[in-house]
Amino acid sequence: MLDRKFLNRRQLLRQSACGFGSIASAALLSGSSLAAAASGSISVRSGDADGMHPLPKAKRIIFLFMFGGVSQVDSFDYKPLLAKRHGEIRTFDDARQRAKTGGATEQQIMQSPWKFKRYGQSGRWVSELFPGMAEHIDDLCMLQAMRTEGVAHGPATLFLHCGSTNMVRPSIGSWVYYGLGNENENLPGFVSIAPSNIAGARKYGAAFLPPKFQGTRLVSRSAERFSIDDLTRDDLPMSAIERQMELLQRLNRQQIDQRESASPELEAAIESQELAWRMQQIAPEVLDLSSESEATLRMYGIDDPKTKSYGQKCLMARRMCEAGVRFIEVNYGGDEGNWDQHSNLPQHADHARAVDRPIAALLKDLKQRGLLDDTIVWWGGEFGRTPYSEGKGTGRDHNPGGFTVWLAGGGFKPGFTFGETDEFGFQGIRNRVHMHDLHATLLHQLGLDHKRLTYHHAGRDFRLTDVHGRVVHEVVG
Amino acid sequence: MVFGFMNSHIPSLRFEHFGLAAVLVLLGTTQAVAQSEKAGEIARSDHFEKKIRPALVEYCLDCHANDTEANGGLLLDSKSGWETGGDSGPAILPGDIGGSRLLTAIRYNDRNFQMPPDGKLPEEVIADFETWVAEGAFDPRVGMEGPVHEKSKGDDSQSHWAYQPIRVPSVPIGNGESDSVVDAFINDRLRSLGIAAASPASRYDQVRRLFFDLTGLPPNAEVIDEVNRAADFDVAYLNLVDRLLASPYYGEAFARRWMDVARYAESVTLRGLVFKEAWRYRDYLVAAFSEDRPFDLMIREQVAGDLMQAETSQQRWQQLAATTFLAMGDTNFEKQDKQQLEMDFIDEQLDVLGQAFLGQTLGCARCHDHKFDPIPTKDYYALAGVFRSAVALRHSNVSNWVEQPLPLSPEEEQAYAELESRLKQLSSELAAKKKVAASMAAKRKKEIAAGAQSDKDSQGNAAADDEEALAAELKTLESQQQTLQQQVELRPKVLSVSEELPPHNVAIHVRGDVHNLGEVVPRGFLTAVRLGRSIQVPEHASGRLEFAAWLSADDNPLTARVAANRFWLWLMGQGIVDTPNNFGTSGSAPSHPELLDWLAAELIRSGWSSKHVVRLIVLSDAYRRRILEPDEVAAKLDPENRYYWRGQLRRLTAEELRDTMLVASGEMELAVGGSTMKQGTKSDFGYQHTSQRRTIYQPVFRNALPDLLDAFDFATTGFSTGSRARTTVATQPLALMNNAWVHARAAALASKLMANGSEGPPPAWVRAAYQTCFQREPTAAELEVCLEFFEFDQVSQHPMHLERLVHSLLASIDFRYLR
Repeated sequence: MLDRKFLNRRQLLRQSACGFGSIASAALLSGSSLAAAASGSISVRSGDADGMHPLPKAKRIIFLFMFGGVSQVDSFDYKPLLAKRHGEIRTFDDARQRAKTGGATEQQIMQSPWKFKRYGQSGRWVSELFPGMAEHIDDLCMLQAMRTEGVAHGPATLFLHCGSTNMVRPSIGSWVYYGLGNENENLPGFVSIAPSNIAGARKYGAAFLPPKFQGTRLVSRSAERFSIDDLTRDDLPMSAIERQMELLQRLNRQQIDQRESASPELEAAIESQELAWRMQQIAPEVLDLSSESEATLRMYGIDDPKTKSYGQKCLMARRMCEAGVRFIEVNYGGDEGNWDQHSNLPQHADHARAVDRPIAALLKDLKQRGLLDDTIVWWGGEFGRTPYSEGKGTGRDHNPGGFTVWLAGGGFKPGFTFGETDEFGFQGIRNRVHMHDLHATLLHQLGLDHKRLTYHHAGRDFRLTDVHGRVVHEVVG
Repeated sequence: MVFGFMNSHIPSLRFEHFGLAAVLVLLGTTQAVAQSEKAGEIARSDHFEKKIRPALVEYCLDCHANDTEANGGLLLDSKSGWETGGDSGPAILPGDIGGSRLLTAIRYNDRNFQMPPDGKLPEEVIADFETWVAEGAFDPRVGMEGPVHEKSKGDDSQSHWAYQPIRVPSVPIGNGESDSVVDAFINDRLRSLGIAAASPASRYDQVRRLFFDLTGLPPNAEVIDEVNRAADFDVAYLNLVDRLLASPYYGEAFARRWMDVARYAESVTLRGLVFKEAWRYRDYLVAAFSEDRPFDLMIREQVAGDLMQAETSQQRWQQLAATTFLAMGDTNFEKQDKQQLEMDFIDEQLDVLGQAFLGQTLGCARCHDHKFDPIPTKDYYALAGVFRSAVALRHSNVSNWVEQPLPLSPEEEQAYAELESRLKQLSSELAAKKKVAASMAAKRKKEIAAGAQSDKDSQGNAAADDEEALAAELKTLESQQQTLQQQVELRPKVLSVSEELPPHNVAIHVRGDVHNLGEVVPRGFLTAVRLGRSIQVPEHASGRLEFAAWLSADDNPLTARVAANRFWLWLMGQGIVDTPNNFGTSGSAPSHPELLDWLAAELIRSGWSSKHVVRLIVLSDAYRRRILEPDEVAAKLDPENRYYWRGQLRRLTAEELRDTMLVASGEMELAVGGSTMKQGTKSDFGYQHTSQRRTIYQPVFRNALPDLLDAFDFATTGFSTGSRARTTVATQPLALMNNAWVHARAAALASKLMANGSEGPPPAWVRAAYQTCFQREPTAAELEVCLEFFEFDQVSQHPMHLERLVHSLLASIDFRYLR
């Protein structure tokens, strides 16, 4: 039964180049013949001359979320002028001040405490914060004039995930899952690994999309094990669980036979029970890191207490990716602290230390397994940081007007840099990419037209990019 | 052509003096002019191609192009685009720097009109635009305009059925099979379709259905037994209906349904901030539905209770509690642009109340005239003006919501006033002492810095002693302050809004943007909805009270229909209008328009009694039918049962599932009302729901719902939910099989069965378990399967097996799906 379904799913996916409608409805229906009865309905805009979604270049996304806001001028956006003019006072149009007062303010320029070096064939500059990622510089497509909305963490984090700073909207992972369905029936299509509390459950929420497209939270249960809520029970031996399952199936069958009408919904309930049973056996294997070799664990930094946590999450992401999960978010910025260095910029080094080796390992691992071709790895935070110090102190404030995001695999141009910030690394001045544009481009690479991936709710068709967004064709191959 | 001449020699300002005709005359008069014109055209073209076109692409066309949804209606992807301009008129007047709105916007001079919205352009780019406009705004992009945007369909949709007055329809003449008017309408339709209606469901099935629908709880075995033995089932059923309508649990069941519509929650997602007082709104609803408070009054109280007259303080409490409706949105209090935050807040209110009471998707009109319904943007901002005075936010970095004190007896008021003045006094005393302490510390620091080498003399020691004494005093005062603060906070408050006058009219926000204002709109209501008597907004009040009256007027064609449809949906499993929150032209058409109007008219006629309408529905044959396989005709004409020829498969909601498990395990605490959030809860993250009261009394936390709610399609708390999603997915059986809360119920049920004297041989246990879970005996076949489950093991293992058996029953089909 499982195989037949899986095959059908594969067949459906092959059609994804020919039109989106069938896939989205399939996603809605999988596991439930009644999910479509949800309050909204699928809407694919027809009537366009071509009526086509773009050809997919990638099948899934791994999003390495650097919560708190990594400073671009201390990582990938090298601005030697900062050292020359360190300590100088100059007027900047600070985003937070503008939201509050509408005006520009005097700020003190602050140089980067880290040295920069050129790497790879492309010879691009990377600071000493990220020696591991720097080794892969020729695989990365760098967007250096990103801009977004929201000056505070909550709004900007929501904007990053849902394309809105305030209104309740589905997360990009839910949109992707809704648009493409899952490759593996035994696993959820959208997984968020160890999400922190910031912006709450909305950052992996389905909002008005049917609830099945909600992101599934993966939490770390022990040193080597991650878990999904209610996936298994540990207090009984497998033989006992099996016996109880058998009993339940027999009781259900008897109850259904007593009814005067066969109902597709009841059949679906029985089927979902069988699916749950298979998930319960298969998913824990995917979640178990203990089958990985010593060498792999070491590569991801799981042998080092400083890199262990993020290393485990990255390795888990690779396993999920292999198993066919559509959207995997790998969170950094929970208990371990985050990139929000308002007053103590040198702490950036601790966070860089925690993520650099695991991310480098993930890129290497995906590449050697041939997974990078159809997987998009997306690295970035909710905004960048200012090139001047906050309150003339020793940290940097939030900066939504110019920051760096990189992408690898999935058809993004490797070794390519797009966009430029001003001489201080503050605001994008050329080839700026808005967060809406990035969303549009990510969907495009998955074969989804951001203007046609819509859902009808409260009287109108909603989409991830609202009425905005431009596919940045310049950065895809 | 014209601009070329301007560009070559004559200062641009003179353009205005010449006028077009004069320029045309001058053109082509001499060869020299023509030549310089040619050179000028090249320069202008150069400037446009090198500076302006790239800048437009980079900064403007993401929003202002024909293939986007042009913001403000302004297109910048063609010359005619900016000539025509958008909602605020032409964007550029060639040669006129001061009069070109595009330049005003990009210079950021006007706080309310700044473009691009995400940051000012670099100075050199602004200078390029100024040069361009000054030199006549050369633009070669002519004849490439895209299709004209569709305008609002407002005028055509005025004739839409939902905006027509409610007419009391003539009741079809039945053939005597039922004296219910509901059946007259339903059966008339079935007869005309030639579909045979199913007979009534079994007594057992009818009673279970009625119990869950009217109370959200299962019947107990005795009730079933009693009804089974009744000589006249119809009489017994009627009595049961009246008994359940009067039950205290009726209010809870209906309150919970309305809470979906009202997007009820007790926290916001961001930072998990908790609404400590939101429960009062829940209790208001439970009491209101229980006592059958007129539904039109409930509408007025929810929209404007704070502005209504009260005769008793109890009434005042209820009126204020009802207004929590206006303040429960999942707001992002942290948003830094506070002007935008305030508009977002009003938008959320309008969105919810539009859907909840009128079945109108008002949110669509925030940025443009409604594309499908006769709701112009003007109406939206007329309503926004009404709600502008209902202040709901007190700003700081993370803004605060508004809590209003509830009125108390004079003695209590006096006591709290005293506490507050003592707190105030103490706080200022504390502040003064802190200042002294700070200056003492600073002085000493300075002294140490200045003359660290000078030995500590007695004076220095004395200073240190003073400081210590002061520090101790501060500590005492601080703890006193804390105690007082806690006492003051005990004062009953309610989550609400604060009406602040004078009222303000609101300007149209072009494309919803607070920094791009258009025409100011007088406060008012929806122009498409016409009442018999006109209700005006007073000059010196916000008009919210009048809006509430307008909303709940008997002749408002939408309100009673929307309400009647909800009661029908809640009991029949689908609405007469299947989109309960959308009665606009993009919503579904009613399956039985006359029945809907008849129910709406009955609602009004009965003084907006919801119990009256509920009673009409549950006493109909249509409600009581069995769930049958369709015959050939039904399968062909109505496989979905839109015409109610059979009963509807009903499944328990997440709350009912949870509650029924608690009832089965014997752990349910059936208390009504009260605050249930654990003391000291600051944020909802990781909240442990340990209470065993009904699910309606578990705090609805947006980041931490009680077990099972997420998996079983609980309402989305981010916006109004008219009908919940109904999914059947693997996470549901996983929760039933593996969730620790469910295990605990199974364990409790098993021990209850053993303690209740149904000890001894397993058959007695199985019988008792079936009675507890389903209020029926197991069939012989069921008994056999259950007994087999015990067979393999020794007797000592039987209690453990009983636990797993009852766990299986709790997870089984019959527990979740009624028949």
